Amino acid sequence: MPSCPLLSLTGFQCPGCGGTRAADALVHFRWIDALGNHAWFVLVVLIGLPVIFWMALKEKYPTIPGPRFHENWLWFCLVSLLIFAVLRSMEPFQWLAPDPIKSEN
Amino acid sequence: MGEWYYGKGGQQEGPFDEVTLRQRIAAGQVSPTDLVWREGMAEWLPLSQVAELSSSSSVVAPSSGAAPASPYAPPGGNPALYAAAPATSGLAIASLVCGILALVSSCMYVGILFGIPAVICGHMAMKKIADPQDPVGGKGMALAGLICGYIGSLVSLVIIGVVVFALNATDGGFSKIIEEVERQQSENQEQIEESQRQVEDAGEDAH
Repeated sequence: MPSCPLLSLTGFQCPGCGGTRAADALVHFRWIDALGNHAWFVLVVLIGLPVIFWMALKEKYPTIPGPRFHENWLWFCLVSLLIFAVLRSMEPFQWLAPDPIKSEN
Repeated sequence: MGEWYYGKGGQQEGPFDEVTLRQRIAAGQVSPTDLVWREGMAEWLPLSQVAELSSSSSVVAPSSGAAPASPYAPPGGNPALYAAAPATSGLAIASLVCGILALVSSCMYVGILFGIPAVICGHMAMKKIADPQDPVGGKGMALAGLICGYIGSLVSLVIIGVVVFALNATDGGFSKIIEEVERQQSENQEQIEESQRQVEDAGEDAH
C-alpha cells in the first residue's frame, strides 16, 4: 500500500489523507477501519452518494419521496470536509486521523 | 421596458413583459382587482387603476376609493427582492463538486485530475454570472470551486514534482521512490517510538 506522500514528506495531513486506505477497507467491508481512516469519505460515499443519486432522480421524477436537491448540501459537504481536516490534525482528535498517524501514537 | 408582476390568491407572479401580461389580462387570468406592479411605480395598484393597462381590461372597474392594502411589497418596496433569485449556474455547482473532490484527492496525483475541471467550470461559470444579459446566480459557489480547484491542483502538482525529482535523483524505478519514502516513514516511526519509550521510562523512574 503506497503511503501518503504529503504526510511522509511534511507530516501534514491533506483533506484526503487516508482516503485510499478507507476505500480499501470499504471494499473489504471493514467498516471500522474505513471510518478510522477517513470518516468523512466513508460517510459521503455510503450515505451522500446514494442521496445525491436519489436527488438527481427526483429532478427527473418529482413525485418520488425524499429531499429535493438544494445547493446548500454542497456547502455542507465543503464545510464539513474542512472542519474534519482541521480537527483531526489536532491533539484530542487523533482517532479521526488515518492509520499511519495513529500507529505513531 | 420594465417587467411586470401581479398578485393572485396571495401568490406573486412574474416577472412578465407587457405583452405577456396583456395576454393574461385578456385571457381573464388577471382581474381588475388583482394588484400589479412594475419598477418605477410607487406601490402596487389594482389593475383597474393602472392607466396604461386598464385599456385592455374589458370589465368595468369597481369604483373603490383607496387601493386595497397590498399584501405584497410595502409601498416603494422592490419586488426584485421577491423575484426569484436567478437559478444557480449548473457550471458553478459542477465547479464546487470537482473542487471538493480535488481537495480530497489533493496529495495524490488525482488531485489535478479533478482540479482542472474545477478551474475550467469555475471560470466559465464566473463569466456567465457576470453576463448582464442573462442573469444566473452562484457566484459564491463558483468562487469556492475555483479556490478548491486551484489548491487541490497546486498540492497535486507539488507532489508530482517531488516524485519526478526523486525519480531522477535516485536513478531508479518508481518502486524505489516508494521504498525511499516508506523507509523515511519507518525511521520517523522508530524515532517516535524511541522517544515514547524514553518518556515512559522517565515516567516510571519518577514513580
